Amino acid sequence: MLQATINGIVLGGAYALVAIGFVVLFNNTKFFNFAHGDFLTMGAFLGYSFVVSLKLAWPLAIVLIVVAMTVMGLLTELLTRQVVSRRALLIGAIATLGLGLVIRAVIQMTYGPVDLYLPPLVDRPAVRVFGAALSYQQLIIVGFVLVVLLVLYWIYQHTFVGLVLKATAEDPTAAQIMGVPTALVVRGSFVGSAVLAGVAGFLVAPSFSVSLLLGYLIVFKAVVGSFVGGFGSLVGAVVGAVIVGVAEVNAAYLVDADYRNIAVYGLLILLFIVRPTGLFGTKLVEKV
Amino acid sequence: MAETTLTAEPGTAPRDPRRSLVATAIHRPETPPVVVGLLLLLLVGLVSGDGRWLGTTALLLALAVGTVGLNFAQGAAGIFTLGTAAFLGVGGYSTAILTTRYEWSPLLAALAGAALAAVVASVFALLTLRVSEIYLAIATLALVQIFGGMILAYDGLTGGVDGIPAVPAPALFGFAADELLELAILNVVVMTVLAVGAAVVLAAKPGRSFRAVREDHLAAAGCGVRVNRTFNLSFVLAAVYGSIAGSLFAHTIAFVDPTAFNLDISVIAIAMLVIGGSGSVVGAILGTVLLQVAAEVVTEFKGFSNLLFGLVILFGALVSPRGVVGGAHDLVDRVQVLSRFFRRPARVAVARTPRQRDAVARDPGQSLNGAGPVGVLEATDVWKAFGGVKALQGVDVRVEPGQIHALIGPNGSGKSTLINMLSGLYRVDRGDIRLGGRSIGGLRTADRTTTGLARTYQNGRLFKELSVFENVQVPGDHRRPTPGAVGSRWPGVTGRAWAELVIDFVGITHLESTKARLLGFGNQRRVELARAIALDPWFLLLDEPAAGLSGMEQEALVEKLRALSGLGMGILLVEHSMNVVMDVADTVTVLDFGKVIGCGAPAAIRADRKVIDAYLGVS
Repeated sequence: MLQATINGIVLGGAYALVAIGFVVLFNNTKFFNFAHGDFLTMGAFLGYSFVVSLKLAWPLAIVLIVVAMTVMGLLTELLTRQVVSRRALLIGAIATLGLGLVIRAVIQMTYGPVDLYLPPLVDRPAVRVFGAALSYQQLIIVGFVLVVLLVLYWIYQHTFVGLVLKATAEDPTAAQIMGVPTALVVRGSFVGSAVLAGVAGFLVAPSFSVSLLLGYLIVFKAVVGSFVGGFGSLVGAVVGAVIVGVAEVNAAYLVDADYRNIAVYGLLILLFIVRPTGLFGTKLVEKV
Repeated sequence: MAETTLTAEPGTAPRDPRRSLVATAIHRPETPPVVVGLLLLLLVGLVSGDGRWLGTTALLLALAVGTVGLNFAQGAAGIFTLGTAAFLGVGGYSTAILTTRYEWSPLLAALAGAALAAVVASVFALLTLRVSEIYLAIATLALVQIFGGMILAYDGLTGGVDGIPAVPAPALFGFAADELLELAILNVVVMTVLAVGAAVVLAAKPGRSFRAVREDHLAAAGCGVRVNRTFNLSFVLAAVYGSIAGSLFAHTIAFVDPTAFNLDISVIAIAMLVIGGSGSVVGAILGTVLLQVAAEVVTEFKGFSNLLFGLVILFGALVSPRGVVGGAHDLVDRVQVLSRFFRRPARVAVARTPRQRDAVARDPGQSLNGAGPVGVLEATDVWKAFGGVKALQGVDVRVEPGQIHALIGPNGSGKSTLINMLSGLYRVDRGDIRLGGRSIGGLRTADRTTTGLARTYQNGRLFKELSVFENVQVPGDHRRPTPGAVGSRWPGVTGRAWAELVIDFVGITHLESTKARLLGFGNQRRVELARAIALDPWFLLLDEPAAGLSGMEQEALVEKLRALSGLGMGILLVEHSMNVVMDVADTVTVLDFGKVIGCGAPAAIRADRKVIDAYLGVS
C-alpha cells in the first residue's frame, strides 16, 4: 500500500510535468493541443536514439531533447498561428490531431513497428525509504519535477515574465494593448509545453516501453489530472496529476489491473458531478 | 399597429407564392441527402465488381451514419464530444453479442443497442452536460476509456481483446443480405433514411434550438429555449445514430474487437465532420466519403499511409476550417454581400408595406391598457451584491401594461443588473419579482419567457451564423401564449407567417435571408428587437436599444416603441439618450448607486434637483 502510494506519487509527478505544459499552453492560447502526447512519444524515441544508439550521457541527451522539442514547438506554432489567433478551438484540435498522426507515422517509418526498451538512466539498486523501494529513475523524476515546479513558481510569483504570462492568460487583447508581446508569449508557451512533454517522455520511458502509444497513455491521465485539479490552475494541475497517479496505482494494486482505467476515468466523471469546476477551479460568470 | 415605418425598399413585395415545383423541391431539407444517397447508390453500382472498393464503400456508409449523428451534437449544438467511439461500440457490441450468443434478429439487436445508447447518453448528459465545453470534451473522453475498460474487464461476455468473430449477415423478414453488394445497398438505404431524418429535424424547431444554443446559450434561453434539454437531446440523438452506425459496422466487417472502438475513431469522426462541413448533413456524409476514400487510397503507399492521412487532416483543417460545404456557403455569402454594392442605392422612405396593413387588420384592436389580463410587472425591494459591490440596494420598479417605463442613471448605477434580474439571468439576494401578482423570482430565464417576458441585450447577442429569419424563428418557436389560444394578439398568424410579420414590422424583410453577422449595426439592433417581439411578450425589457443608432434610426425606433405600447405591451427601457427617453416615456425611474433616487413623469424628473445632481447635470 505504501509502496503503491509512493509509486503513484512518482507517476503523478510525471503526469504533472505533462499537465503543466498542457495547461500553460491552454491558458495563453485557448488551444487544445492533441499532439501533446506525440511530443512526449517523440521525446522518448529521441532519448532512445541518444542514450542507446549514440551512447551519450543522459544529461546531454536531455539537453539535445530540449533543443529538438524547441524546434518542434516553434514549428507547431508556425503551422497553427492562424488558428490560434482566431481562437478556433475545434479547428486547432483537428489540426493537431493530424499533426500527431504525422509525428507517429514519421516515428514508425524511422524506428520500425516494434516497441523499444530504454534501460533506467542510472543502474544502481533502489534506495529504501520507510520500507518502500525508490529507484534512481524515480528519484530523477521527482527531482526534475521539483526543479520545474520551483522555477515555475519563481517565474510566476517573482518575475515580470510571470506577470506578463498571467496578463496574457487573463485577457490577451488587453495585454496586447498594454504592450505585452503576446505573440512571443504564445510562441514561448508552445516551446515550453513541447519541451516539458519531450523531457517527461524521456524520463518515464524506462518505466513503460518506448512505443508509439506511450504519449496517448500518459497525456490522457495528465489531462484528467489537470481537470481533477481544476482546469487552468497550475497548482490544481500538479495536485490533480498526483491524485490521479496515486488512484491509478492503488486501483491496480488493490483491485485488478483491468480496472485501472475505469478507476481513473470514473473518478473524473464523479468529480464533474460533485464539483464541476475541479478542486481548485473557479466558476466563470458570464457578463452580459 | 405602426402608422409609419422605416424601410429601405418601399413596399417590399411578399414572396411569390407560385414558386415552381422544382424550386420548392430544391429548398426542401430532405432533398440534398436524398440526392447524395442516390449518388452513393450509383457509387456502389460502379464499384460492385471490385471487392476491395465495394467493402470500403459499405464501411464508409456505415460510418457516415455515425458522422451524421455527430453532426447533431457537434455541428448543430456545438458540443465538442469525443464520445462517438463509445456509442459506436455500444451498437457494435450489442449487435455482435445479441446475434451470436443469443440469436436475436439483427433488427432487434440494433434497436436494443440504440435504446441502450440512448439510456447511457441520457444519464451521462444529465450528469455532466452542465459543465462547460472543454470539461465536456474530457468527460466524453473518460466515457470512451471507461467503455474500453469494461470491454476488457467483462471478457466473458465480450471476448476481451480477441473480440467477437462471425457476426451474421443482417437479415430482415427472412431476407438475408449475405452478399457484400446486398450489404452495401442495405447500408445506403439505412444511411439515406437516417440522413433525411436528420436533415428534417435540423431544419425544424429542434434544429433551430440546437443552433441557437451553439451560437449563444444565454440569448437562446432568453428566446425561450430550454438550454439543458436542448443539449441533452442533441447528445442523445448523436448516441442513437452512433449506435446504429456501430451495428451496421459490426455486420459489414462481421467482427468486433476493442481496437475498432478506441479514441481514434472518435477523432476521425470529428475530422470527417469538420472536413466535410460542420453543421450540414451533406457535409457529414461528404467528409466521411472523402476521408475514408483518402485512407483507402493512401494504403497503397505502404508505410506512408498514416503520414499522408495525417497530412490530409492537418492541412484540410488549416486550409478549409469550415469544410467543403461551409466553404461553399461562405462563397455564396460573399457573393450576396458583393451583389448589394451593385444594387440600386436603397432609398430611405417612409412607407407602409402591404403585409403591415394585413397585420393591422388582424390585430383585434383590444387594448390591454390598464386592465390587461396579466396585470403589472414589479420588482419589490430587490437586492443584489457581486462580492463586495452592492449593485442593487432595495430597488422598487413597477411597469404597467401599455406603458413605456424608462430606467435611467449613470454608468454602474445598476440598470443592466436590474434587467438581468427581471429576465432571470441573476437571482435576487433579497426581494421579489412578480408578474401579474405571481412571483417569478424562482423561475429560470427560459421559463420566464413563458410568463410573458422578453428582452434585448446591451451589446447585442444575435445568433451570428443564423439568418435574420432564423434568428426570429427561434423565439417564434417558443412564443407565448400558444398561437390561437385566448389572449394572443395575432391568433391566426403562426409559424413562418409570424416570423415574416415581425421582421416586416421592424422593416428588414429584404434582409431576412442574410446571416446576422453580415448585417450593419443598425440592422443588427432591429433584429434584436424583432427577436424579442417574436416571443409575443406582455413585457419587453430593452437594454439601451438606441445606443449607436443614427438620429433617423432613433426616430424609427421611437415609432416602433409607441406602436408596441399601443398594443398593450409594457416596456422597460434602459436608455442614455434623453431625447428618446423624454420623447416616449410615460414614467421614468432614476437609479444611482443601486438605489432609486427618483420616479415620476418625465417632466417632473427633469426638474428634480437630486436627479440633476446625480445624472442629468445642468445645461
